Amino acid sequence: MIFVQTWATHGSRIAQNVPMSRAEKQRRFERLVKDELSVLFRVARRMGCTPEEAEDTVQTTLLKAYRAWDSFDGKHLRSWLIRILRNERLMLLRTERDVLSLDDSDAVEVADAPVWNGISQRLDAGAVLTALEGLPEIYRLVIQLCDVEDMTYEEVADALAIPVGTVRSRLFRGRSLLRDALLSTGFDPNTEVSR
Amino acid sequence: MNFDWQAYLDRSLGAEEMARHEAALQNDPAAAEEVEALGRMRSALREAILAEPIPVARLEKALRQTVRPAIVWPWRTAALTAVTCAVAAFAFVSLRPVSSVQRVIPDSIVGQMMPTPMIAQAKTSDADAAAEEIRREGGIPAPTIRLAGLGASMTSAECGNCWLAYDYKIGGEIYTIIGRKSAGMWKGMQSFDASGKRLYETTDGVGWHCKGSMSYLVIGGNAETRRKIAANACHETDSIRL
Repeated sequence: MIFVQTWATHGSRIAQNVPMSRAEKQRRFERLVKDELSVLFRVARRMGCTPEEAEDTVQTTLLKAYRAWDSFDGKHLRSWLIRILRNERLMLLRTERDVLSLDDSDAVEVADAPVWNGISQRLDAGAVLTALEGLPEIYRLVIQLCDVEDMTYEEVADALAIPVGTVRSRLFRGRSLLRDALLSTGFDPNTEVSR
Repeated sequence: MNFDWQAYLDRSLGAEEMARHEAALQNDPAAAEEVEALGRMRSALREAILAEPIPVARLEKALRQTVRPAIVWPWRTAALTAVTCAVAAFAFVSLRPVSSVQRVIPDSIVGQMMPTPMIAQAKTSDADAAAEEIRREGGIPAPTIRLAGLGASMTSAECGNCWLAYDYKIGGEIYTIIGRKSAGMWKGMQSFDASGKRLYETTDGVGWHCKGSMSYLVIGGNAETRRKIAANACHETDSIRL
């Protein structure tokens, strides 16, 4: 509750154009962003960063976020930070290789047929992670943000700067690919997999 | 009728749609199994990802450094530099070895009064400590010459096998008192008495004898101050005997 109030206060102060002192800005930024550090690190890892690269990327993200803190509207802090993180990562990638070109269709695909009931009762966590890592980045990210970080479609859309429909589309495709990957690794629907 | 079970599980449906999906689940075992399987996958995924090690301490440190970078104030740097320079200058002035650069000694004096190479240098500007060091290192009877009352400060001291040389700064000018184990050096020179001592005026300075000890000569600066130095120092050199 305190978090929400503080967040709201930040937004309202920005909306009212009330200047914050330097010390106040430091305290507020540090207190709010501290809770997002782990999320940022995990998202960086899902973007294909090694642990060291993820650390560096998060650090750069913090620096840029702090500089831009006055322009933050007070809504969806996590989305805002992830957007900065993602831009930073993409900027680095552009110097190395082209960003993956995938179908970003906004069409929402609804699962008519059962998708997941072919998966065994107990899933091996390591195998799931391996399967996730094998997915294209754009699907990995959406699955990570929705299923692990508990972000809403709107927050994910805000973080990735894509329409909500695209979030749902990528989520569906990503989960389907994940299921296929799990099944291809030998998951028997009728037997349990030990961890 | 279409059902979006993923959206249902993600709680992204409106209230009416959520109710419709929940009602359908009651009558559709296959759909219920589908939702349950998806839930299991999500749990496994969360478990796997959240178990990944995260360098929390380093990330928090990075956050602290972001909002509170180490600030090096310019005045602190300047002050530190000034103190360092002052200490270095003090050390240089106080501890530097004797240098004859500032001393202008005619060759005739060097040959006569300092015929042997320098063997010891004092590493202090304190007259007592310098004399003690010259006595210890050079093995010669070096007196303490403070030149009290003349506003003198010793700048260096050194000695050879049979000689010593003390340098002083008085009124911005350098004066050197050179002593040598010798007697009768000033025979034939013009002499005068000062403070009860017989002093000898040469073309290069003012000299005197210490009976049973050494002969001394003050050189450098101006003649008047040389006389004052000789009149003052001749009593201090008397304290040392060979």
